[in-house]
Amino acid sequence: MKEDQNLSDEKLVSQVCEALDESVNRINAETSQRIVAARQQALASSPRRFFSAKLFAVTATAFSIFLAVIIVNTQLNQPLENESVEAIELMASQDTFELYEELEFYTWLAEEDVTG
Amino acid sequence: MKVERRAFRMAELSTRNRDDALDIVQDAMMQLASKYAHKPEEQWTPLFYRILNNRIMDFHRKSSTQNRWRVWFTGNEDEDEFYDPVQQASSNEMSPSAKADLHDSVERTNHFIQQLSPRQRQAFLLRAWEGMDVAETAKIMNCSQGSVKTHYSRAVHFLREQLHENI
Repeated sequence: MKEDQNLSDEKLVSQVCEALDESVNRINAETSQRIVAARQQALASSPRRFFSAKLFAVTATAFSIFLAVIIVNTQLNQPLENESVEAIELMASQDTFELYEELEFYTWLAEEDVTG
Repeated sequence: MKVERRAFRMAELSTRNRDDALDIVQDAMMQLASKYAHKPEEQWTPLFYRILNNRIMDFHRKSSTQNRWRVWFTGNEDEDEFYDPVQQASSNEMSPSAKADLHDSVERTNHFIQQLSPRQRQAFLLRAWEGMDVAETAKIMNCSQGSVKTHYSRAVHFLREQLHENI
């Protein structure tokens, strides 16, 4: 009895679903167009576009940083020119700066010259 | 495209109004596209139906509220200026044109599906028409699996009685 009932229910559900499918096929052209338009509008508002723009910006920034790092690295690895070498040697030399260290003496000497 | 057309039919069966149904489907698609586009594609259909069903239930709630306010202000419960599909669903009275439409099996089926309660209709359409299992349907309807089974069983019982009587 219950099996008959289940079979009957299955048949009923199948018939109802067929009718529903048919009702979808009967949707008129104007309504179909409006559904398509609604779908397109929804897709146009999708943040995927925003994501792709953001992705492009991030990629471009990363590429720029990469290029900058390469350029800086290349310049650092180049052999130093003569002027640069002299300047560095001067800066790194262990010689004392007499003028700086005996500044008070030279100031006194200058004052003596003026007054004397 | 198939999903949207079926969704439109579901919404139309619930609202009994083409423009309201289109608005609901469009809202659901917009929300899916704006909030869930990043989700895996296989999740889109259940998510879409969940949003759609929430929209349909919102529509019923809004209609009921409007109807209550109308009755409170006018004191006239018979006037049908504002359409309340929930109240209409419980009514078995048919207009002459509706009776004529019932000769067509599709219209007859639609008519009786419209008479189901909103929750029974949701459960039936999702389970029987969309082929979703009880767990998925429960998730979409935001209720327990037991409730889905009850709503579905009552819907089938009602349709069996009505369709057999009207063949």
